[in-house]
Amino acid sequence: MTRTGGPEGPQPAGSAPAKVRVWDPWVRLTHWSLVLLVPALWLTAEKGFLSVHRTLGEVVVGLLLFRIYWGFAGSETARFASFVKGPGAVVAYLKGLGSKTAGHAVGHNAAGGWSILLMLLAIGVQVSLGLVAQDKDGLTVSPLTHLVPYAASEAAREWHERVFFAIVAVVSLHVAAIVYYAFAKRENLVRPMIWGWKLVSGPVAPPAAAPAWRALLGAVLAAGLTWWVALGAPGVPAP
Amino acid sequence: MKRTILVATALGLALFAAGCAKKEVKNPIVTARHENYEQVKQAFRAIGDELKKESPSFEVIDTNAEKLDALAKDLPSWFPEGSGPETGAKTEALPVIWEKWPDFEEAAGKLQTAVGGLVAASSAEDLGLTGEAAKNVGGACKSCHDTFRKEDD
Repeated sequence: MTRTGGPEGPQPAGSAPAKVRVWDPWVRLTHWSLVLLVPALWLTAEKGFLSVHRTLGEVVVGLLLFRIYWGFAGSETARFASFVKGPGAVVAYLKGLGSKTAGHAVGHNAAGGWSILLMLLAIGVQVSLGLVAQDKDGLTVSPLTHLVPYAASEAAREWHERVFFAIVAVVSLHVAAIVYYAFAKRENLVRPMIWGWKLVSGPVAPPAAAPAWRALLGAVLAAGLTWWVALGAPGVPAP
Repeated sequence: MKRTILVATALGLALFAAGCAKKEVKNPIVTARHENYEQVKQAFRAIGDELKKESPSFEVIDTNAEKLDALAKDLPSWFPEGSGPETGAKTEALPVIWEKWPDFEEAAGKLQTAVGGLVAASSAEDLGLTGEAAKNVGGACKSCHDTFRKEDD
């Protein structure tokens, strides 16, 4: 990822900070939807509003499917190939963490990329378990419960409760990194995730943005697949 | 200093072992009740699974509806006086069951009526009615849990 000096760092003479579009609207929409949905899912489960919980969970399935698609077909900063780095890059990044100057990476940094993958993985495991679980009374079932044996639905419920803590852990790490950047490195990472752009000084090639039609295609595909799952995957024979 | 640490560790381990050894109290009535509810849950789920199939088998629904019927009729007998939290066993049965026994029996009666409707609908092989009746059974379960069962921690 391209790195340049921050405002406090050395700047090439005559290069005024320029607005660079880092996050496309689809990444931001997916991100902030999850920010709202994860606590809402926790609350609805705690309070026993299981049919609302199930519906919100189905929305997460759709968002996740879209995000995976976007990881291959989306804008440059959204693609897995652009932000999943090898261990060498992660170590090099972590060594530079102590420096007080902002890295001003455009897109995910080497460690952040892995935390994104971890979050997506944890959420993926969580919705998979949720889709086949049943509540402790067997009164609220999930869209795909009928495709797995009774014992599997029981186990899925128990693991669904546990995996939530894994999500809390990775999200905490993610938030801790943002707080660290804000105070130690004086770089606001939240603003770019809201508005899409950040100020970068120095010559930075703006990351390529995917066309809107491709996002719409992904949204239609994800929504269609989610709809089918929510209907109980008609066509898939029950064992 | 080293000695203090050693003693503290030993003490900690002893306490831990004692904690582990503390056996969960088992009560045969409570255990049997849990097993009965497990039967209810399995029968209800089997009906739900069947109803989701493209062409549900009324034979399967019938068998499980009959099971539910027998279980629902027995249900009040799973709660003899003194089988609540006072047993020390892990149970979510609230004391209000025995404090308001007529209400509890009435709630059980509602379940029996709902299950009766399910048996009838399934015998008549009416898919729409059967689905409706299964929903009523679920509603009867839930309304009773809301009043007479301890909420999840």
